[in-house]
Amino acid sequence: MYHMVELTKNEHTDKLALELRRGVIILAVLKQLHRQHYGYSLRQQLAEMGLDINEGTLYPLLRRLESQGLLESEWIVTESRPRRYYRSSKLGQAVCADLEGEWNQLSQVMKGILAGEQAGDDKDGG
Amino acid sequence: MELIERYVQEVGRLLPKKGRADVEDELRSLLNDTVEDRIANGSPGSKAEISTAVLQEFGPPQSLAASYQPHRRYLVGPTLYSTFLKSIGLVTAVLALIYLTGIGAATRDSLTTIGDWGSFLMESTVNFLQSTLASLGMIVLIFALVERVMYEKQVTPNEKWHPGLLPEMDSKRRISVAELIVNIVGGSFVIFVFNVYPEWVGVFNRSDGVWERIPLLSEAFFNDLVPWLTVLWTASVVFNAYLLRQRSWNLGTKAIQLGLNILPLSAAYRFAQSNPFFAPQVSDVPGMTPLVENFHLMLLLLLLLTILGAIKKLVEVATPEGGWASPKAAG
Repeated sequence: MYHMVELTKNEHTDKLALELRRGVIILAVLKQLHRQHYGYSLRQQLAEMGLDINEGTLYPLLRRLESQGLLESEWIVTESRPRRYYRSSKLGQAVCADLEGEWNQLSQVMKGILAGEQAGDDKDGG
Repeated sequence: MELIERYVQEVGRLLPKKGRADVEDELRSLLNDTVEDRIANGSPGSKAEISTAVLQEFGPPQSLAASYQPHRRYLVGPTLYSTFLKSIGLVTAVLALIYLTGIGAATRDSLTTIGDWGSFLMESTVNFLQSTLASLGMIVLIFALVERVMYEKQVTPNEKWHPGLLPEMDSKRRISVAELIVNIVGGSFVIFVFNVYPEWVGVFNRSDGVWERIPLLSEAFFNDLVPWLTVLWTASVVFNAYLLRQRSWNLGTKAIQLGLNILPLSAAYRFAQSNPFFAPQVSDVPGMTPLVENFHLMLLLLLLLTILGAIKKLVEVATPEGGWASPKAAG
């Protein structure tokens, strides 16, 4: 039996924004990991660039991308504590390049759609 | 750093064994990096307070562990798996013991011809396989139900979670949630069957080429002993539910649990001294005669072993916690 769940406007926004970000996060991670990072440094760097990713999302995602062959990792034990460093694999870089193209195209399309809606709104309003 | 170790341990406990240690090492490293970076950046509060805040941000261990395996659903998952294996092993061992005792007893009995031996071996083997399959199927069913309940519990966001709720590092005082839930479900099932469907408690026997189910236990057992056992089993279910809330053992709760283990055995032993434990037809089932004849002695041995085990566990819980401190170093 289907149960309709009543959500407030903010809850809807949070839920859908999370879904919107989910795909983008993978692209951001693959792109950033052209250079080697460990989990915390990657999270910090993305946060500094304006993409704040929850720990519970980012760290398991790194393991999943690695298990899919898109990332490679190694433990480096020469620092103050052992750290697992990740880097995009060749496959990951190739997939990242494809995704980047998809993103640019999608971004253009979305700009058009959103601008069009705005123009439509203006027209309706005028 | 002990709080971080407790968190890492709790996440690891919910992950499959394969790859668990690696995730634990990485998580420990990430948590320590985060805490140290905040200290270096002048975050207010002590190291313990900062650790608490960081763990709060990482969220409940159940949620984090679920993120590491988002699409996996198990019939029996990692949390329950060791308890599941123990239960399977125990039941199979008891059934195998009954089977082998039957064969051993038949050697010294009246089976003289190869034909007698052949049909005896075949029938007792079929009986053994049937009871093993039925028992294992029931165990899988119970664990699958518990898994389902626990999975729903694990994936439900727990907004009230706080690092202070993390269980202590492994010790003899730590309860096993999986074991308690299995005890509650299994105990409720036993109460239900023995009181509502006593006819289910039977064995299959092939007589004159036809399979029939015959009752295993005597009428006196159901009339005189089951009401007492039901009281004790119900107390045990209630007690396990209480322990789930308490989250750790102490000397008092351990003593009550051991008492609740010993009392049903003791009641069964006293009952078997002056009453028939098994239904009269059971002696006709190949391989069951030695069990019927030696059951009183087996109960006594089981009772003594349970009492000895109880004394050992009480001593363990009464010993200071430091005695079992994990040698695992903090990261």
